[in-house]
Amino acid sequence: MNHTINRWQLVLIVISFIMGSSLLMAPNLTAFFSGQDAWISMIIAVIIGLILNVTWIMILKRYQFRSIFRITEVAGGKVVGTILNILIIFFALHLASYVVRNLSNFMISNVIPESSPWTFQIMIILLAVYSCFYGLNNIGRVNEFLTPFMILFFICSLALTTNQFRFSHLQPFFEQGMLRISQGAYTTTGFPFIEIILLGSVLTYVKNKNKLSKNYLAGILFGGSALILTVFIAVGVEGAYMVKRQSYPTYELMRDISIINIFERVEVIIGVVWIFGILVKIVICLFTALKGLQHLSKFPNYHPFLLPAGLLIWALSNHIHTNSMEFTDFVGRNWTLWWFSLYLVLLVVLGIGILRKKDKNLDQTADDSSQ
Amino acid sequence: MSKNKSYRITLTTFWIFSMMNLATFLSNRQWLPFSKWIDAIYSPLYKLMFGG
Repeated sequence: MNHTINRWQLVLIVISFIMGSSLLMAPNLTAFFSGQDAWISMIIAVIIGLILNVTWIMILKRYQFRSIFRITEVAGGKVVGTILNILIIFFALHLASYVVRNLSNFMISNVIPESSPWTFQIMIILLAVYSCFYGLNNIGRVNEFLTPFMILFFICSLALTTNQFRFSHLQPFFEQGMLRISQGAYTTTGFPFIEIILLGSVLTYVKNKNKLSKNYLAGILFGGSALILTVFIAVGVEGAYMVKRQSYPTYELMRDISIINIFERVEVIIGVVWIFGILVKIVICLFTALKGLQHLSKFPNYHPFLLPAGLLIWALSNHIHTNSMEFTDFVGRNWTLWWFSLYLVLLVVLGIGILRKKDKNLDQTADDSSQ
Repeated sequence: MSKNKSYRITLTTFWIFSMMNLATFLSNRQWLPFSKWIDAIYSPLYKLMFGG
């Protein structure tokens, strides 16, 4: 297993993590509350996400970007550290199951309605388990190869819809009031800008850690800007009313692409971009959970945990919600607060660790990154 | 590879937890309704913030 990645690969992983699953859902989640001001909500969410991540990365920097599982034990002590590590593992597996469910919901509602959700769930989980089996370097390299193409597809797809863009769809600005705009921003702050704290388990494997913080934040800024652009164009082309009504407005938006009746029905391209982002997100979540389990078990590798973790994600993705409406409603209401709780607890424990100068006592020899 | 006590405990507990969830899902029961627990904790906070 090779877990080493370079900084460029990290930036691309951050971009895929941000764009995966949020790309298709962000316009609906924001526009549902803030209507034509959804793009303003998205800008606010990106700013808040950046502020939270600047704080997070500064704290990790104080601990020399060691593995998050090791840092929590150093900062909080054995008992608190172990409890926090179990929490992080649960959050990672829980998130992975939501992302898997997200994919199957999308496939059976928009792409192949007559198929079973299990088909897509099992296929994506197998792929994620296979990728984790070979280590982080594997997904880092696949992502490095595919992400530039995905970004190109994404930009081209958006560009082809701009001929239907109506500026009047975005007016009047700030009509919804600040409470509704904040509510729109709230839903997309946790999803994906707080979830990304899971990359705390990945940063330790980056080869050259100089300017690592800047690279990480640049990835978030790029991914966030892509989401702002998506929401802006989705509302501008379809109008707030239609964006509110559709579960995956970006996908519906691409259905409108029509160039001299030849270049039509290309929406599946954006579906491919999204599914690839989802795969990266699931792999990162699974990798985080596996590294946490490896840390708890003090075993040289995480291979024995691959099978139960895959089964758990599959089981959770099916029994967390009975239908997709309940799923979307739950994510919209609770997801940001749920993830913010973990963020806050980690921030407090690691902050207290810094005040107690625990960040200076990290053993330089025993490093998880060697495993 | 030495299979120590921590390894055995972690792996066994994790298998049990996974199988419990799998059984919950396959038998269509709600033994571990995580979403409902999360909703019960955070919904009042959300209502406080945005009024529902």
